[in-house]
Amino acid sequence: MAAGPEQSEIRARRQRRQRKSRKSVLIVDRLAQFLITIGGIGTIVAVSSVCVFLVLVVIPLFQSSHLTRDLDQPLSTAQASADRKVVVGGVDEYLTMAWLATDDGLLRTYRPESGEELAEVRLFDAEKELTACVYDPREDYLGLAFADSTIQLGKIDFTTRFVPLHDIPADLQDLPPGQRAAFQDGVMERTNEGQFRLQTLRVELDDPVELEGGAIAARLDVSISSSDTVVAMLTRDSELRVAKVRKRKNLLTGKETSTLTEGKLPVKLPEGKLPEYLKLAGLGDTVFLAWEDGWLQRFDTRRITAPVFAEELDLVEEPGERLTALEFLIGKTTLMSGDSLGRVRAWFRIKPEDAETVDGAVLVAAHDLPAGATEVKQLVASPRSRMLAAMFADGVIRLYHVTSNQQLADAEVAMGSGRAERLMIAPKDDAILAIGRDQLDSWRIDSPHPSATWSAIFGKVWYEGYNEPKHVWQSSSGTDDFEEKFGMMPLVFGTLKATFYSMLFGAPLAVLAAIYTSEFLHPRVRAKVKPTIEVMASLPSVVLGFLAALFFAPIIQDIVPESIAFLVALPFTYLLFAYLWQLFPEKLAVRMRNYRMVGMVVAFPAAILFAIWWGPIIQNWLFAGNIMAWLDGQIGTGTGAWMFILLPLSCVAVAFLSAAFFKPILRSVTESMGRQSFALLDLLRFLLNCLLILALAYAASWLLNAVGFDPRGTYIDTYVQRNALVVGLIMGFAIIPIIYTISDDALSAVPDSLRAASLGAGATRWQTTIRVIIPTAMSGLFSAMMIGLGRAVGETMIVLMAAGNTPVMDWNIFNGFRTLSANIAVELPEAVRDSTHYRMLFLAALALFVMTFLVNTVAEVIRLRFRKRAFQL
Amino acid sequence: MSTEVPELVETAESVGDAPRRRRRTRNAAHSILAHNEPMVWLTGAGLVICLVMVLSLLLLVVSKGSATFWPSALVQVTTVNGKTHLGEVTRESTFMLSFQSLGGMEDASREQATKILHPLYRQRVVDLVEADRLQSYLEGLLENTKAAIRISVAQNPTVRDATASERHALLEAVDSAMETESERLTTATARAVEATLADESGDELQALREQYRQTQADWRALSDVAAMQAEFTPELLESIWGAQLLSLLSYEIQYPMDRRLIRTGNFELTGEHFNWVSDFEVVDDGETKPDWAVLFERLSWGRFYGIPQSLTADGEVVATGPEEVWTSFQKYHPEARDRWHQRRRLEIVDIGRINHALEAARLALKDVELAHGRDSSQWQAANDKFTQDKEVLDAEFDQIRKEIQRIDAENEKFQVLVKTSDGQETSLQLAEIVRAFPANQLSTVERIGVYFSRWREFLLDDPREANSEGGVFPAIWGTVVMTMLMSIAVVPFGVLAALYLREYAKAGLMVSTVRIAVNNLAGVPSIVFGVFGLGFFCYIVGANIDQLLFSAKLPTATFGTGGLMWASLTLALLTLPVVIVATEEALAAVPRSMREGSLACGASKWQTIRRIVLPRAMPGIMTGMILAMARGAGEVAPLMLVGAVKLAPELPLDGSFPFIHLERSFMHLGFHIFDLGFQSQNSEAAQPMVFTTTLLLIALIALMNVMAIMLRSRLRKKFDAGH
Repeated sequence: MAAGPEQSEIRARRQRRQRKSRKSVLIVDRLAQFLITIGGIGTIVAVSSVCVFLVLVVIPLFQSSHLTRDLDQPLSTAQASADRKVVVGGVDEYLTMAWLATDDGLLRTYRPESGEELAEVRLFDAEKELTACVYDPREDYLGLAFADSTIQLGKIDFTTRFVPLHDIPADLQDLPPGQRAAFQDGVMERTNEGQFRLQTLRVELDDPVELEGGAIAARLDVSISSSDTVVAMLTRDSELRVAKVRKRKNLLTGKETSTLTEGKLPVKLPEGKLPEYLKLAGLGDTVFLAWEDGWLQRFDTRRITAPVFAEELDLVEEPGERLTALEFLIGKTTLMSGDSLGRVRAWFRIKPEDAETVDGAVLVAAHDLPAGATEVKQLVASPRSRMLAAMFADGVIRLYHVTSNQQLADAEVAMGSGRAERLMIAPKDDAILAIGRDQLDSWRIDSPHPSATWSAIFGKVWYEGYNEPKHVWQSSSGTDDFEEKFGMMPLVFGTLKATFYSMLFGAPLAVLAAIYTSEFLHPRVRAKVKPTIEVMASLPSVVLGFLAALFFAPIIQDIVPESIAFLVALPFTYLLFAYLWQLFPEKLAVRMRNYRMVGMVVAFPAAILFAIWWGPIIQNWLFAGNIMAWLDGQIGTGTGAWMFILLPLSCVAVAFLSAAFFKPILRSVTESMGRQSFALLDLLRFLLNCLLILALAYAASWLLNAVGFDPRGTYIDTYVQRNALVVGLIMGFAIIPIIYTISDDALSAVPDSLRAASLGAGATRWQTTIRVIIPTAMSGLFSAMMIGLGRAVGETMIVLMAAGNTPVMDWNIFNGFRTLSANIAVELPEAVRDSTHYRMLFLAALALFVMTFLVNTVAEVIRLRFRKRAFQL
Repeated sequence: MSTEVPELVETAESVGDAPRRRRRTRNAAHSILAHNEPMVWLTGAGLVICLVMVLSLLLLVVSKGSATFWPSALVQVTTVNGKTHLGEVTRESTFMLSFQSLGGMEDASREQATKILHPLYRQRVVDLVEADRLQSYLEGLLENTKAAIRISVAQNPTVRDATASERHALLEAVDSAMETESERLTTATARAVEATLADESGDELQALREQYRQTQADWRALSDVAAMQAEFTPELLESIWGAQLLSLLSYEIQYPMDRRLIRTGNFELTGEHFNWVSDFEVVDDGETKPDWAVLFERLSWGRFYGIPQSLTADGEVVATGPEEVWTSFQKYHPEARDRWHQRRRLEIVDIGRINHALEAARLALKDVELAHGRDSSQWQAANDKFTQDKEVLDAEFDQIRKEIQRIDAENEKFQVLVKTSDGQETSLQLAEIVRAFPANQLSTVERIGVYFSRWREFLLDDPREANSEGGVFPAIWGTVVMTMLMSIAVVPFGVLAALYLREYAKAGLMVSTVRIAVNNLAGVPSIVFGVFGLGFFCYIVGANIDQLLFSAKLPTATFGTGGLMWASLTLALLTLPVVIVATEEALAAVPRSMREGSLACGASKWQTIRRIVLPRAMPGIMTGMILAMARGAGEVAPLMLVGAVKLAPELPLDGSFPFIHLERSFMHLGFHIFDLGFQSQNSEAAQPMVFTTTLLLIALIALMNVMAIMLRSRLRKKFDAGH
């Protein structure tokens, strides 16, 4: 038996086995590495995808708009209408059916795909001579005026119904989804869900109305609201007539009664020419008459029985140039004018203070849209948004968005023999149609968010009815024809205001507290104090917001003078206590140093007592006895407000004077003075300085007020219960713990060797702190404040609850505001998914994200550099 | 070495300049200035303010929150207006009684207030006359008065709507009238002052005011500006002028007055929950504490205060007189409540079960319809089954309804007749009464009993009266479940990410950039995460899940709207950086030597991490989890977007399959605070509840922290013992 080699082999194998890991261990190790890597990277990617997702939602806001020619559908117009003048026309929302009415009273419906005529309706007898015709595709109403001195009102609209399967002829039953076929005067489409949707045209005409005195209406416009129909017309003998029909339905009997009120006014015609256009505003309160040369007269018809002339102006100033198109924008308030120079302009009424017209309003050109090269042929307003399409003489079609003052897209009409005569925007805002004699062009509008441009979001925009361009955020309203106002500046402003006031309050307190904690507090006390302040951080902000809004705001409102007095009383009391403390003999002072904190705690109620004592005095002295009325600007002078502002400045000035001139003198004079007597002198100096500060501030305030400056109305104004002061106070409170903790860490990170060296060299604690510790920890303190700033920018619940949430741009510390974050919280739940509003709110979120991320990164980089430096020391 | 050091050395040198130092040590002035005590005190002030704020805030929440449920005495006050209020005093405040505040008062109160104010006013005029300053004072008021008249005319609605020219003409007329009639105006002033001086009681002055007011009101009511201009007579001007002067003279006269807010309840009779009663309004001896005034807390309509008259049990009057009624009330009330609980169980549990079954059957049918179409034979079969099921369920439902009706009829027989303080009598059903007690009779022990019974209800019951009464159990439950789910989601991923960053990724610029970025995500506002949660989780992920799995329920969203899962995931994302940072720090704190030792023994990297690093880092990871939970539990802003609601009908975690309902919306304490404080109709009644809820939320967060800290120290002990 050769045991030797065998044994050595076993030994060798064992050694090998020992050296080698088991396979399962290796596999598990690999697997763990793989999983952790995937999981780790995945998690980090998931967190960062927040930003990516926000960007993805925001991007479509800024995608440019397009007009795409619809090539799939060869469109044409009904042949029969070719020889007469087309007066009005329309198309249904699915673009399955169009209609045109010609001046011989025939209305023909046809299918745009084929030009196949579906039905013919006679609106009026062919013999009747049509003098004016108006149709509004938004409200579907039609107004006709005839030479036999009658007018006729009516309604032309499309009806949609779903036809049950058994009513459908066999040959249409297997229509493939998406296909259309003519059916019973209308067009039927099989929807993707398999239902049969039938579109038919409905024409309802009222009986003709004979005009009084045999007058013939040359121009006509109609305006309809829920209860009223207002008709305005200009007769051939130049008389403006307005009539309002108010229909009331008796809720009990269901009977409808209508009342008619009318008014007349003779109009002076320049050179006896009838105006080209008559336009009646949406509420029936204003009538515009415009002549071909651009002359416009405006009449106030708020009182239907007595219309009065309001103003006149020239829409086209250049002599020889003509007004070629005049159309209302949605809502019938803004007039769009097109002229022979190719300009397209928006006009609306504003109400300036110094208006001299009877209704206090004047018409101004608010928007000047990018002009075309040749004369404007036709303007057409979108029935559901503030878009406007213009056709120019050279066949160019431009699509504009009026609020944001931009051209969205353009296209060109093929200039054939049957050139385009009428332009239409489809009811769903998704297509433009140009109808010619024998041809129909259509373009798909691809413009999801026309109102969003950088300049509209962050610049001033002239909104309808506003006296001047302004930053306004107003995203929703009760009516459909409301102009959405997406000016984000008021929200950004509110965010900055909240941040400013909370930093003004929180940052100094937190940093001072940190300095005292790390440099002067006994380590045993410090171990208790620091966690106490950090408890604040765990207070949910909803709690702070609730306390701010429902508890502190009403209290502060009642004690405004005392609160202002407290701002003065607090530093005064502490300084006074400090000077009194100096009166202690040196030995006692050294021994008592660790109990200084007790004195400081006692000083706080003392400051409150001072404030309660001074509050009414200040109110009587500076604020004319009633601070609320004073803030309103009803009583008193601006001196008090200036005091408010100049007091800190005056403090700085006196402190500087005192340090630069008085202290050296003091030092040399008191060379041989004892400690106690010097301390007494110092106390005296302090009191004198206080008087000096007051005197200086008052003198300067009085002077400024006498010169005529009154700061009220700017950053000091009417008091609102939920205001920036309250928010600043509570949000300052919310950011204190984070600033405090980081500042304290930064100060404590300064190596003790530096402290020891400085103290050893004979510097006092204060000198060490101010000359050695703070300069070294400066960047750490700075980064603490930056991080606090980041917190304040994004804080939501406190501002949501305590800031009043009105998006105004107002520096007034006693007024509310709305921040980006609160705005998101208020509006996002109601925003329709993927609408402009929704994406705007995402933009706000993205802005917040980027802002805080940048601020935090800067702070973090500074902090890391500081830490490195502190370690090097 | 940094460049700053020479500077520091320089500073030290300048301090340590030898000859000067000697002088300085002798000089007391210099020593005092060098210590700069005032500046030290200012920094100390910062600390004190911070501490005072924290402590007073906590104290405020604790005191207000814990005082809410204490049963206070019931007071009955009779006012000069002839009204009697019975209820609890909830708030006291001091306000300035002035002539301006008389407007909203009833006649008797106004008379009473005038009695207080008139002497002050009269004294003021007398002082002016005696100091011979009346003339100069009135002259000083002249311009103000003119401006005020002009403004009051211009702001008249009729005038405001008039055309500019008409308005202008009218104001011209007013101006010129004031110029030409100045003599008449002086007489008017003189008369007003005379009247004031002559009249001790203030009646005459009041009559004068009234006359002025009437003349003006008549004029203001004119509908036409032309008529207004024609009617602008000197007499009218005199009225306006006089009224203006009187009000200006009385403008600054005010008198501090205490008032109390009394919770009077009885909403269905009075239409009010609360009434302010000023001290001067209370008639002499008009304040009592009726012995047998009883406070009823009811299921609906809020509280009821009154004196019990009789009690009807089983349809028969069994007790009359307050004391007797109270005894028998205590006897019958528990039974009635039992019946009510039984009814509620039927309503919630049994009917809920039937509704669920019905809904499930309907969905099954819809599924078949979507899969095979309505014309198919499968659908016919499914429809038949559905009809059968429905019949069974309907029958069951009918039975339950009958049972409920039976209990209702039973409850109807137990009533207590209560007389309110103003003599009205109302019957209250015993079953509808949650709690009742004669507040003025209670001993301290009984009061404590009521106090704790209210706390019990608050913690364990459902809310009622639009959340302003009852309990917050669903909100507590929602908060806890949501936070737990969030921790389950956040901890593994956070630890994975930290492990990767610390142990597997190659250290370099890339990793430190990622680290800074992750760190900074902790500072990104929570609302941004809410926006992400709504846009991504609810609208994209949730909508797709609905399309795939719950298409039968569409268009009603299941996961496509805010819910428990999305809220937890959103908060998990929000708190992920906190966990990552804390875990990383914990991993970094594991000594290198231990890792190396393990590796040297032949352990693989994973073995080292699992056996050595992770256990040592466990306390740190726990800290991260605590921080994440504390932050998550207190966040409200993102929850408003992704699923917290005012009132959730069903709990997110309950006894019905599958026990945890991730798609349900839930109640949350933080959101509850927001909702109660800002969207409650009866905010005065809700406010004490908000404080209690606040206290509870803070306590819950503190409890979570404490629990986690204990867990951490136990783990630390365990692992420290192992080494």
